[in-house]
Amino acid sequence: MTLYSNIFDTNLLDSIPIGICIVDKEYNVLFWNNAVSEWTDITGKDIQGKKLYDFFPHFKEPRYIMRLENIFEGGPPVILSSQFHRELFRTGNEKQYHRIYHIIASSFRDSSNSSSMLFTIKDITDIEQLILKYRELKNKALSEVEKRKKAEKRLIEANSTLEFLANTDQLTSLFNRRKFTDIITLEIDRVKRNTDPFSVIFIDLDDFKIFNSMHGHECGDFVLKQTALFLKNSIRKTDTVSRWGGEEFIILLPETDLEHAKKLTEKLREKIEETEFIFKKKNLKITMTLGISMFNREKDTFDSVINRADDALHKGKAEGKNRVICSY
Amino acid sequence: MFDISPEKYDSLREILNIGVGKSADILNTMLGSHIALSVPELKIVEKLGTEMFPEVYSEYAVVNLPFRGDITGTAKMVFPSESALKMVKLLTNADSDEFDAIKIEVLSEIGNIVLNSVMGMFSNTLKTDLHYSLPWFQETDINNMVSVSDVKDTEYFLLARVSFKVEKLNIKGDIMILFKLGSFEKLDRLIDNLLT
Repeated sequence: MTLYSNIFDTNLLDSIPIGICIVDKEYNVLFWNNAVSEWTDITGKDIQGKKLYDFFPHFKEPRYIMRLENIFEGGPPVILSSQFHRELFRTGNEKQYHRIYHIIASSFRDSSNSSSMLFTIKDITDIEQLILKYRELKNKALSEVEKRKKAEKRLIEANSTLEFLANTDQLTSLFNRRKFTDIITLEIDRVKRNTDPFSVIFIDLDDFKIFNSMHGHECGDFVLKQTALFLKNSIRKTDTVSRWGGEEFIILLPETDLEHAKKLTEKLREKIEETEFIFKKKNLKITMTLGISMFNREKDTFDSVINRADDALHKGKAEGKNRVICSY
Repeated sequence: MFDISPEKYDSLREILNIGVGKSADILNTMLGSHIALSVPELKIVEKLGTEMFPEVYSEYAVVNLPFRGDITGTAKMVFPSESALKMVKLLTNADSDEFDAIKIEVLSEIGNIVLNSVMGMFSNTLKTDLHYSLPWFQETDINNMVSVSDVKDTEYFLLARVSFKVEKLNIKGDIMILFKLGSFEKLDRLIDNLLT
């Protein structure tokens, strides 16, 4: 205990890198440690018995008197930041020129319990430098993270493009047979877990070869694209249309029974027949034959439900095209 | 739970209103723009949550002034970070968009001026001596705005809050005083003294 208080008496406050100055109500300087001495070139001896404003006249300005007077009454601490108070505790010597001081004035009661004011003066120049350095490093690190994120994003985009290409028919942008097989397989799983059965519409364009032979392959492609677009815009949100191959399309109608499917299919047939397609100023009439089957939970498999729709379709072709046939 | 009569609520509101009004004058002089103040709002709360803010920002700059005495708590000046930056930039002509030591210092001083004026008026009016810790700065979201030292020894706060707005500069913020639960009774008595 004695030891500590000895240290305190002799030089603790003189050894710390924080400036300490204590004044009484009349601004007589009561304490002035080494740090302030060094910064200001004013020694304790010089200032002892003098008033603080003899050396630093700013303390006589009303703006300081106003803000500081409360401290002697035990009021809250007052922050005097370097930005607004550059002039405080400065003597104009060179070593202070680039330094930044942060000053806090607070109420202080000495051993005799008379109230005085304590200034702690912190040199924050180095902290500021550290912060600048830190920010520089942080920004660098951030830009690395940014770069990595961008690379990851590109990878994800590339992957989704690949997936899109693998699942999509290039000409019509509809799902291809592969993707459709995946979707219908999932739907079969769902039906086996007792949801309502789905129906499948198998579609073949009537006399498609004529478009190619009369107007060229470009026209054939046009018809396929337009039909794809027509189908896509005509089905419900929950339905899936895809290109099965050649001029064949297939539609999956989840939770739709045969009767309902037939109504929808008949509408498709009528609507495309009524639609005018114009290719290079020539009016084209497109019709199609459609075969429908409904998945039977007890009997059907993936292959059988599609084959039944396909059979119905062929029956329709044989009966004269442009019609809807159901497989019961 | 602490119960305070409507008359006392009213007087408390008035005291705060005068204190904050005075500090708004100071801010007004600093910024050269009119400061609009809301009516002080008093509430007993468990913690500061998003529901208490009409607009929620991701980050706030907060200057804290803890006080103790007959009544104990923390006074806070709270700015959405962007408002704080805008104001500091305006006052210092700084250009970067981050809080550096200088900006924090400046903001701390502004908060200090405002909070000292509010608390000064408050303790003078209620004729009670308060002891203050050093003001400190934090950058935080709403959920962490109440610090460990704020909630020490208390479950509930009496929250006094005034919002201010510098319409012309689109700067806004809040002045909040959190009184700890233990202070309620004393506060009640101090207001009693004042009213009689």
